[in-house]
Amino acid sequence: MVDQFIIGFKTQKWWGTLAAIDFFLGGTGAGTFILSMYLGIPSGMLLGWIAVALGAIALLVDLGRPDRFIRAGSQVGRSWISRGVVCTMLFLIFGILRMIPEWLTGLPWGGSTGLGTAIGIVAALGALGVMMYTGFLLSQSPSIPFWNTTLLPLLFALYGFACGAGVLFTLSPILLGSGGSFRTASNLGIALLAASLVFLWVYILTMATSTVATRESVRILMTGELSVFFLIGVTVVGLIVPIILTASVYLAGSETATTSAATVVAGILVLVGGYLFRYSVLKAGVYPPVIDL
Amino acid sequence: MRLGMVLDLKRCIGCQACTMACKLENATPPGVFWARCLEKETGKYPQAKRVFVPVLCNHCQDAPCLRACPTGATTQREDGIVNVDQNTCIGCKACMEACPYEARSYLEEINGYYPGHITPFEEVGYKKHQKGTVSKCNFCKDRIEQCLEPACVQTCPAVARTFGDLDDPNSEVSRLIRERYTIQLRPEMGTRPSVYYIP
Repeated sequence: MVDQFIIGFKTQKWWGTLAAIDFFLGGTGAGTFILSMYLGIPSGMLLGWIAVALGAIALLVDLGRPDRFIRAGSQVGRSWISRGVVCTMLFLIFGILRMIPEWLTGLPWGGSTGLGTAIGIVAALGALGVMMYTGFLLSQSPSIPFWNTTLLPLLFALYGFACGAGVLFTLSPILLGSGGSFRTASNLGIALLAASLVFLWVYILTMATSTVATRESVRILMTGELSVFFLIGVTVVGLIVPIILTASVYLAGSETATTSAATVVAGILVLVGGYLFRYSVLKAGVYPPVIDL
Repeated sequence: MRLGMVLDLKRCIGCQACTMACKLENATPPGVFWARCLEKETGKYPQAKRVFVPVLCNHCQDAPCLRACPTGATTQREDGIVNVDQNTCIGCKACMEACPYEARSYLEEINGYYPGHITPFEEVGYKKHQKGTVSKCNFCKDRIEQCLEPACVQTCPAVARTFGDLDDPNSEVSRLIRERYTIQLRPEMGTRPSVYYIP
């Protein structure tokens, strides 16, 4: 309580583990859905849908008054949470509609009908919204300069796709088999992980030379209480090791038990890093002092 | 009409009377502060001194909390007061993240000040508060409707606070802003606060 009466940098404390779980499940689920739709893997789409639904439940649990949840979508014109709620609803409704024909034949929007394609596009746009709204939510506010950048929505979108690839890698023996889907997913995965690594460090380096508050956030991530999570968890375990593993699989050419295992391990590590990324970004949010003295 | 406040930091003695007056007027539970007096030690011995900065909701003209609220619980009245309707708030805390002044409080639990006991004062006062929602300073809107000044203004023993209509050129707040050097907190955020400080 004493902290409330001192002038100085304050780390935000309101969004933590549950918000990070929501951001992680939402982004990962949406990424899994879009990649699975692109690669034609119905069970991957279902997994993505379930992850987004679980993320929405985590958000619900994090609310002070979950019984009033329905109001959260009422300010689409100005609030990113409202937009996120609408995107999540759209995705959950159109996502399930898009998946039903995969298991149930004879529906008017099944196969490659125009209606089916339209439903798929709405579901994919909803998924993209779910993936990106969290980044916009953080970046819209000037109060925490570390979040107040256009890089964040892009980074969250990239991480959504990268974690989607992580899910496909983790379940590759079941979902991908050893055919063309595996190679396409593998190639996409390497590109997404490499892009995430580059974007993440562009973001960090930009913030490291920005305002005093962003420098404080970067200090917390690099040498402060989150340094193990960020440097080891997010960067090494979550990105560098999976990039090395997937690149080794790519260079090995043919699929063996070792390369399959390496892909699964890479997938798990990407998911661990994906969660820690959201958690670290949230917990490193710092308010600058209300007045410079 | 746009209600606002001018705080003279040269007059503030850091007594926290405003903090206590606010708590009494609004019966805020433990851990909830709608008005606070921040402090910092500056300089080095023998020139070291403590600086006091009383803070409250800035009732910004371009309030980031208003944009962040997904339910419409946060609204701005005609007189500029940014208000939270606790019956509509879902406790998402987006407004707390958005506020550069940390002026909002989240009511995680509503406990009394005495362990295991709610006083008659708390029993009546706590009817205004709801667990799981966000609350903040509303310039004592109930007092304003009775033509009274906010409790923190009336209580301040150093007369460091002046309250009035910023749109009225003849008001005391307008005169102070016109005649004295004033600053706003974190002007670079572009929030256009209605609270001014004489540094």
